[in-house]
Amino acid sequence: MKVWAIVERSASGPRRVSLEIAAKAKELGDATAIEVTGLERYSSLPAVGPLATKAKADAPDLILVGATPTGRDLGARLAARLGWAYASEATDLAVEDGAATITRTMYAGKVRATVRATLPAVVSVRPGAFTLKSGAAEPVVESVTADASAEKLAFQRFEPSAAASGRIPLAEARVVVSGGRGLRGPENWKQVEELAGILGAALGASRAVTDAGWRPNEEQVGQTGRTVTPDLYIALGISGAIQHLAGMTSSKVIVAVNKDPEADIFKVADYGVVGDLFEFLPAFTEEVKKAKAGA
Amino acid sequence: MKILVCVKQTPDSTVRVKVAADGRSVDASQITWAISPYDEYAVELALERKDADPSTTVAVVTLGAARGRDALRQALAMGCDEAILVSGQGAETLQGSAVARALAKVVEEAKADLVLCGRQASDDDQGLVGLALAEALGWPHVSTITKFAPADAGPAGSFNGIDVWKEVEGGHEVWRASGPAVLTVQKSEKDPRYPSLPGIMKAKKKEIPEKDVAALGIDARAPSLEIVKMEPPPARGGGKILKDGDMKQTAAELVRLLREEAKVL
Amino acid sequence: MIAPTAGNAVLVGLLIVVWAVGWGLFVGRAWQLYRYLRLGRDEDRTQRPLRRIRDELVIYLGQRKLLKRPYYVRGLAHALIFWGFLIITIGTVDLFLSGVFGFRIPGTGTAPFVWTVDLFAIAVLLSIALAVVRRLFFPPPRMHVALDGYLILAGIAFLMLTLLLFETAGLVARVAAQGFTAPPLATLITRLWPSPFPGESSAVVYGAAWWGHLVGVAAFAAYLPQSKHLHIVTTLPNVFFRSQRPRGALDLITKIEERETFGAGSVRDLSWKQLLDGYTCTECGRCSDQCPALATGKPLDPQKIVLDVRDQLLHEGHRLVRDGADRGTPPARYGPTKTEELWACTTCAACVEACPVTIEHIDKIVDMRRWLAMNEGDVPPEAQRSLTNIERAGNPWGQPPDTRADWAKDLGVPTFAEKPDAEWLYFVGCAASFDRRNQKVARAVVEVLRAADVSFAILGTEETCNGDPARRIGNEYLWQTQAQQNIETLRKYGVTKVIASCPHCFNTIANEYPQLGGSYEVVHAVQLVDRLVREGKLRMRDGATESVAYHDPCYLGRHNKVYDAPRDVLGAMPGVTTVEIAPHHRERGFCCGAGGGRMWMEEKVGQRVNHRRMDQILAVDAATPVTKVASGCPFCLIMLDEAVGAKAVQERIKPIDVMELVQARLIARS
Repeated sequence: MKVWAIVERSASGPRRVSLEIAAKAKELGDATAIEVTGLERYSSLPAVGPLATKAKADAPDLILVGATPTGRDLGARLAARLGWAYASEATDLAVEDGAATITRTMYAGKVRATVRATLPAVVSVRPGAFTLKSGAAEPVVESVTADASAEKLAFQRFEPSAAASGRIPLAEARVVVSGGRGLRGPENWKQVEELAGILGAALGASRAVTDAGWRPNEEQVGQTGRTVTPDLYIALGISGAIQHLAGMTSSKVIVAVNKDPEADIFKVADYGVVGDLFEFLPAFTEEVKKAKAGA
Repeated sequence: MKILVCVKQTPDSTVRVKVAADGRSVDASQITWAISPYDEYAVELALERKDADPSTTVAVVTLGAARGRDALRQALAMGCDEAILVSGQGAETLQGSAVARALAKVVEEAKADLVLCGRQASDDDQGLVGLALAEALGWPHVSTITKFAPADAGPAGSFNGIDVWKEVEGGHEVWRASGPAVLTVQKSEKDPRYPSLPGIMKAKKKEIPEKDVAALGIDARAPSLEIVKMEPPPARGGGKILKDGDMKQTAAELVRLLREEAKVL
Repeated sequence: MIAPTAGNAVLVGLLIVVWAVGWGLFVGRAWQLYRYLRLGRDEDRTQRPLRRIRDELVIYLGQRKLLKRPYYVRGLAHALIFWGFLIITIGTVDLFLSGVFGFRIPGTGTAPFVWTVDLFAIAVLLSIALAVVRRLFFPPPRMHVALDGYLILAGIAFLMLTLLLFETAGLVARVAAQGFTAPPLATLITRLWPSPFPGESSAVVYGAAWWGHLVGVAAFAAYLPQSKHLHIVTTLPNVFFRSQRPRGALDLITKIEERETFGAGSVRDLSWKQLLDGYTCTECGRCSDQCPALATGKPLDPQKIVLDVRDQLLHEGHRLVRDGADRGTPPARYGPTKTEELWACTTCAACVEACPVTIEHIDKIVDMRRWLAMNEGDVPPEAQRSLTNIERAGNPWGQPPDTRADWAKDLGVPTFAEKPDAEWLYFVGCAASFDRRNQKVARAVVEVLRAADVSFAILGTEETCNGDPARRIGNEYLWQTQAQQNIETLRKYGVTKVIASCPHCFNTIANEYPQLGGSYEVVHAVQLVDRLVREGKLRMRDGATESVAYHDPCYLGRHNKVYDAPRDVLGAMPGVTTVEIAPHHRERGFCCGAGGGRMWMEEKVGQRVNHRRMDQILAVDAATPVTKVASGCPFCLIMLDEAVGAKAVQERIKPIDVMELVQARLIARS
């Protein structure tokens, strides 16, 4: 079976998810890692044309892309161009009898589904779905040159968001670290910011905290603030009033840290830590740092 | 300018979706239906354009079950000018790329200059149809946008294309489309508007033409995603509680769990 | 006394002309104001005529709403001026009649009448002195002290002084009529000081003072309708036509599906009574004194809401009367900050309670909100979210509706579907269904009802939001939809008796559902407990010795006058000492900040209302330490919980629901 893995590159090299799918492709059969070159900035039309031409010639059974914004964009349009089946955001994947069996969530995460796509197919794969074995060899990447003549759009400029603070906006964040009154005062947010920095997370806050003026209003998560649905929501020293829960219970994974074992936040948490926040936070930050460095 | 917004009617975000007895579909009996949230943002963005330039017409289309009419009424109440329902036998089971081909017919008939879709529908969460629609039309697309505005070059009143803000990591890329395009919407800056009561009343009385999907004359065959099994995600509330331990060990254990079990690190 | 005009046709003619001009101006202006008033929409305010007459006697004549804490002294001064004015008006009419026709009103020459006139003249003068001193040296914080007020006070003083003057001069000049009692004050003066006027001038002084008095009355009549002191007149109809609905009930918009505009998009859309309110406001500022929003620095000032309606009407009235198609400015946009003012209101009714002339502030605010919410779709975004949640999920938090009864799962509380013969429906409400803190209250209610052997059931997932937040935010349509759905469910199960533990559920079901045909016997849980304790069906054992401050929820207290039941229940608890949050208790209770849909809005300006409330509680606590602050409302509980945290007293003062205190002291059924 022929499997392609489309490689996406960041400044420091291939993205981790690209390595993960390349490794998976190898596991599944005759793997090719392919990268589109010649584009200063990803755009679908110049990338899709040459990839489709090559796909028609090479006839792979399965094309894997990372479920990143670019991967999802490219994967869907490529599948449409080729007239192949398409599944997005796979968290697991197996191939048998000319079909791919894919695990993915549906209904905004409220249902876990197993779907079958007849091959050939394009599948976008969630980062972290396949664990990268340490010491796995970096794949040999074949490049396909983008076709600039196919472009129908013109890039104007890049506008960095919230450049001043360098923070990630709450609404867009995949990870949110939120603080509540349990942090005791605005001076303790340095520790929260450090953790958020390492996690690439946006900062959130409970209403009590924004009302007290410890944090700016736009960080408020909850009924009267923002509703967020990140993959990971970490609630530090938040008791979990309904006002707050209304804004974050749809998060995929919720971690709560609170010294009161009766705190309502634990009722919605997937992982709870009962204990002293100021002992836990530095230790946790250290561990995350280690884990990220190892990644 | 004429904008066509494609919306899908999906279970309202407040609804707890339950897996049906067959284990491969959802139980539709208790569901409140609504416009899929990203599509609602798309409607809002289109209407904001109309607010800025009242000569803009905003049409809204949905394809699927006849109950989709309610979603269209909601969009009309918000301020859309016209609504089109594509329904009939086979409409509900039409697969992504065939849906795109059907919508392409509607876009051509409506002579739309711009098509807006949500980045994905909150039922299948695929994020395919908008892009496949662009493919079927032979148009470019920009995905996950948060804003668009007429490009400012050229004499006033003339159409010089539009500038589109695409959300990417760390900010927005601004792209210019000088011709027709499909945009998939990530979010509107403002919450989608709450329809006024006169708007709701007017929408109630408005005729919504229904097109039979079979009459569009499209090739309905498409590669399908067959659902083998559905199950609820691991239950909330039965979370793992770590306590009484040394905080260093607890922290390490939590990181391990987040990595290996939850797969979010 | 013999009128100076007696026998002189020219003077009589002059007197008639002066009065005709004065009162002509009065009537002309009054007619104009009346025509403006008729711009307002129709509203029937004639039901319950006997109560209206009673209110007139108590509130208008009896000045009941003026004589209230903390306004006793100034209230009494006002009442004296008012009563004096009424009495002396009879004397003045008598003077006029005698001046024109030589005719005296029977009884005006009797000792009781002349004594009354003189005593009131003195009382009025003293009261005016008090009023002037207060305005000059201790101006009340919210009152508009303006020239108008001084002019009126001076005018009244002038009338009193001319009265006393011509009485005295008349007595000296011996113009007293036969068989009439001599005015007592003048008699006293002439006794002490037999010739107060030089030479023969007493007759001249008498004539001048007499004329001064009568011309003064005419001038007063001409000036009055240009002034806020028109309230002397307008209070009479304003009290008569005051709302006789329960205070907690807002006005129903009938045939809502057939309308094209909603709420007040023009002064024409305010009812004539609301416009009359504007004419009646005397700018005393008592409403503003009590407003929790104003007290915490919000842009809302209830007095300004009323005066804006008046000013807008006077400003636009002429135009609107001439052009029937002209709708003028929407009142919700009258002034640059108007919408923020409107959204700041918690509908706590402190203003309505405080107003001495029965002005209805909340109805105006809600009518303007209705226009914003339904016509314009212009609602603060976070409030809109809760409306959408009510619409789609049947609760303002947008929690999954099928989890509504999850709190009761392990308690085995029957639903009406399971127990159709239950006597009472316990309408749980959204807060107690979904908010984990308030779920404990719901559980307490269940336990208490069981201990007293009350037959009850809940609706389970068939219950939906009662609609109160939607109605207060101005989305009447959503309220009607929600109410009809609940009424339909209650009808299906033949429910006749309802228990609510939330005052907002209680209020809207008891006072507003009847507007849509749903009439039930509705009690707040605390009222039922009070009854059960009295009947001996519920007994409480000794609990911890604690000192509990009671916080009056607005929709239990001011809106429904349930002040005693919770206090009696607390009083029946062995070991509990109830502490009043004086002076902000009972009728003057201070809002927690969550009413009127404010629970679902941001509070960015000024101090948070619940923090101010906690300051008041802490002030009481400083004198009499309290360990708990009890309430009977889930929103108060949420707000107080937040406030004790913000003030870092959560370890010391615990917000709690009265029902939880009862639960802790239950004696198990034998």
